[in-house]
Amino acid sequence: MTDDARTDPAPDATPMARRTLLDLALGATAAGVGLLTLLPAVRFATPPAQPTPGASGSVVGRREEFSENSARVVSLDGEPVLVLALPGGGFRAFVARCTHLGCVVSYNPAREQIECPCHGGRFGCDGRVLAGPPPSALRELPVVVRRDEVMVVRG
Amino acid sequence: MEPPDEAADPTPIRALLRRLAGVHVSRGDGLTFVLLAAVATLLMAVEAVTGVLLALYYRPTTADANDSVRFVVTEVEYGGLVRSLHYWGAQSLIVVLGAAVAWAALRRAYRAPHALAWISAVTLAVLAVAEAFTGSLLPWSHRSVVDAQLSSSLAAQLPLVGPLLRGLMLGGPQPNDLSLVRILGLHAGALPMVASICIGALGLHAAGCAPRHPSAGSLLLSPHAALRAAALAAVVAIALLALSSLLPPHLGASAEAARASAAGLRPSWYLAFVHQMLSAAPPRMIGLPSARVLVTATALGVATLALFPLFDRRASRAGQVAVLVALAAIVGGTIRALLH
Repeated sequence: MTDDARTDPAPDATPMARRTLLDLALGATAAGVGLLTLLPAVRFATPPAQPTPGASGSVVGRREEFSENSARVVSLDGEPVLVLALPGGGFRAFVARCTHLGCVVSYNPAREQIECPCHGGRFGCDGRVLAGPPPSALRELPVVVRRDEVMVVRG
Repeated sequence: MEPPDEAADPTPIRALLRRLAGVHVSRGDGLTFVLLAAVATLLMAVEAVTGVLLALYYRPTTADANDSVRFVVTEVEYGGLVRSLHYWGAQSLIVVLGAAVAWAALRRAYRAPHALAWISAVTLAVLAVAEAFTGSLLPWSHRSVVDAQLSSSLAAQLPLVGPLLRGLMLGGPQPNDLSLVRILGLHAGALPMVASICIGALGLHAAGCAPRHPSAGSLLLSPHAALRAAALAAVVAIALLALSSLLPPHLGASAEAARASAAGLRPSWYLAFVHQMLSAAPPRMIGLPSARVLVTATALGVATLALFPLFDRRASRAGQVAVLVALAAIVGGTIRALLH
């Protein structure tokens, strides 16, 4: 450092201040170039949004295929849907992803509860949280039974 | 610039090697560092070689990935052993790098001028976990599908960058073909690249620290410390071979992403602690969903640990106690979660 100071052509200018300024300018330029590269890279890596399917009804089975107090998970447009034949009769359907962290939930007929195997979240037959860490109720989807066919409406 | 005895050396690389061989290593910390570095290097070499071999057959699509890994295990000669070595090497690397970080914390080896070495070591330990985890997704078994969904949801909990990270990782709202290519890119490209930078930084740092003159009880790097390191590496290699032959990792069948349930699955041991915290938490903490609070706190905690020398420049006793308590909590929490 003393060598630099001695060989500096303008000893009255403070070399440390000049060096600090140069370092700052270099750092800011590097950061700017990095940011300018990063932003398009992130945009590139984000896939273009696909059009979401509009509201549509999907037949998930015939009424007689569901016994009371049972459920099945079906895949609708790649999304798991839990179709629940209620203990007292009737149907309800929910997006079968736990509202905690998205694990696929299943129905426990013995407890008459919808349960998440990941972190122990439990929901009632109406989708509301009974216990565990899920912050909100399961998203319900309308069910229509027409001519013995059970249909779940999405959208 | 060159010392006179090395000026006549025919190649600079040979001169450097000769200079390194003449380095003196203290019997305590110096030797411990050399031994830990030797074992970690051996394990990383095993991971690199077996990883390249596995990649020769791997097909990164949701339809083919599971069959391609099964083909390696059941049809390819030594395929089962290569996969098993890759798996056990990755698990061992987490343990060895974790132990290295714990040792560095015990010795307060993050204090100046070792800040860069500490940051590199903690980053390497985190990368080892990330490598093991992304590697567990590649066979696209039932467990991989569930873990991909779950981990992307966890990433999405981070404030501001969360949803972006989830999109970058999965390449869509659900795990799909793009997700596997991206996970492979992380596992075999981006993460090893960051790891190489850390290894380079650690290596340069160690070479810069090494004293050229003997002190009381110090050893020459070559042959004294190197021989001890080679002996330990040989023992680790034999243990790894035995473990890989006796306990090959399970390869489950694939599953449809939309119906893969986590029922009957246990999280990987290195994430058991995080999952137990998530299970035990109430739905909301400080007015926010608990998963968001816990994931953000965990990320901040790991970042603080990695950058600790910048926060505690004077390397105080209190700072060391805080680091040791944090490490003990991680180890204790993991053991507790595994016994649960």
